[in-house]
Amino acid sequence: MPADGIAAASAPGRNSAPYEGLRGLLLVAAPIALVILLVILPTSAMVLGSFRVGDGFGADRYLAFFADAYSMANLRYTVFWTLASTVSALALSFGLALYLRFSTGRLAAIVHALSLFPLFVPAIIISYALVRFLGPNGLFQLLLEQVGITGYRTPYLTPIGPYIAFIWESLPLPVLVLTAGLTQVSDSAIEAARDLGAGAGRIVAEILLPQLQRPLIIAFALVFLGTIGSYTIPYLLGPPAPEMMGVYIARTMGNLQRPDEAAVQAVILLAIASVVGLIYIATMARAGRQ
Amino acid sequence: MLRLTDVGKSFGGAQAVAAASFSVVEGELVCLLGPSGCGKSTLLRMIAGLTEPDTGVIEIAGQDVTTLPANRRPTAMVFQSHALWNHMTVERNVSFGLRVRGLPRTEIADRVAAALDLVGLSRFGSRRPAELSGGQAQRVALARCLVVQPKVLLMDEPFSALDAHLRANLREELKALQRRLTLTVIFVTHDQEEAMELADRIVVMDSGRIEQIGRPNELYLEPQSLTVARFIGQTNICETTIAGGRADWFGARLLTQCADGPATILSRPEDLVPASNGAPARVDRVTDLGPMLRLHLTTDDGGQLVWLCPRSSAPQTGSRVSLVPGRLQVYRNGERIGTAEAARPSTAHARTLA
Repeated sequence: MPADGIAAASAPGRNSAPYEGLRGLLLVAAPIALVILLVILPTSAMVLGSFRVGDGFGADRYLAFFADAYSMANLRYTVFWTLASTVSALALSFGLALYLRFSTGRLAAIVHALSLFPLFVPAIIISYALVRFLGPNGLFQLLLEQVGITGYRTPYLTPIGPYIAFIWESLPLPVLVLTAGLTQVSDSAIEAARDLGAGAGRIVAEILLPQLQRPLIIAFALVFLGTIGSYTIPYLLGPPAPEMMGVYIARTMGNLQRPDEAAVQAVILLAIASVVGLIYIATMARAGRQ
Repeated sequence: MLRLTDVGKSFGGAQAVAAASFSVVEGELVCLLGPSGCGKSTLLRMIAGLTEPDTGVIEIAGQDVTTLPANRRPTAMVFQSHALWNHMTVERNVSFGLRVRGLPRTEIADRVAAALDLVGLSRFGSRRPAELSGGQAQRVALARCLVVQPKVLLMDEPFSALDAHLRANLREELKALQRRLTLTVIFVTHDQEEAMELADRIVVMDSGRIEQIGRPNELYLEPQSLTVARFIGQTNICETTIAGGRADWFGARLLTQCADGPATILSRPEDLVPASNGAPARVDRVTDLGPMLRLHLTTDDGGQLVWLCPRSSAPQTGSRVSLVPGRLQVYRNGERIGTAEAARPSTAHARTLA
């Protein structure tokens, strides 16, 4: 009798298991369908289309891109300034995260809020704010002139303009990721190093940075991927040539009406982003396993 | 080797440590003992330089280190959570302090090998801390401190997260090591048994104040305050009044030299002896401790007593007995004021009544 009771009690659970599995599948079906329909299918079609030459396939368009000096200059310019602004944003946010990890009180709360502020400001606002601040007769120039410094030449139409804007725009994400990473390092782990004679530099180099490897890779990937494909900031700031790939692709597609060439440019950009994306996925997967 | 003079620390108006003063000689193992939040860890951190004292002076080997940062003090600390760095091998963990000091690579290797050998982990150098058991991790943490040859070794409840058996083993190992290397050690614990077993002297703390400093047997036999008496070992407490050199102890009469007035009389469970003129009581419960039995009794006037009794002469549950304290201490306003003895002691036979 008790055995029957147990069997009866467990029966509904056994029967409902397949339905629960089906319900789970139904829940993820919509987003998976969206990703397939709106991302994977068009991307695959674009990648495939970029290799289409007449009735067959070939790499002619890619060879043409790599042979074109202007296209290569744009690619180099994009990768270089993306890397430069990503590394700078990471360095800045590491300093901020260190401060936030070891400081308490009102000032730390204000710094935290300020470091997250760009998260809520659209790129177009950031760009125009920088134009108004750094541009000719902008606030920065006026401030310099107030203290007697004249001859200011605005950097907003040089690569430094978008470089500053990229850092400003991407600062919150690495600050969040690195602050979370630093909270995983216990106080006693840091105190043990201090206690054994280590100064601040050695603690950062030997205790904190090695334990922040994963958050640093994740932050790097997030900032790099957000910057390399950006359009608004490099459209409004920086020199007319060379161009960031985002602007170049849009111009090739829109102004020049050459969708095939735009597809090649996009696939090349996608390939670079995919490398960083794969590093990100591998890091996340390793973290999941551990 | 170490001298503290009026060392104090407050956190936001709350006094964590109040004017602590004591000295530790070379080769001595001193335990800071007290309940959670009594200020013992704060005091240890001030010696280490991890917390800055508000007042007082800390001297190590004759040098004033009060304002020196932790990384410039001749101390090394074993943390409760062992605080090993998981991204380094055991060897790298142990060699850290030597690398910081810029010693030659060969000397580092020799000293690390010797330190790991000392704690019995010679073959574990290439492992990661995550691959070690709790006891092994604490041994590595100890080796990491010993390798830098600190003048004072500080230990903040290092064994509290380990199981009882392992804790007892590590205590024995530490004591042997401390004697062999003549280490000067300050050991923080809330476990009075651990302190009694390890310490040459114990500093008992409560609410940020040092209650008493003494050898373990001094603290146990003659606690200077009720707080110390209650914290170290089990006690039978009797609130009574002294009048004309006499006092009542659960119905038994005591004689004392202490002045008249209210008093608290403490006696240890193992100091109770059967006597015909003792306090009459009934055995409520018997706990078998192996070599001894612990008897929980209720006296006829409603008092509670605990009696540690040899197995051979232990009465049964429900039996009636009559007991007097063979040794006792008298306290007034929390401070020890003297002793007392049972009137007309008669300890020849146990009087088991039913």
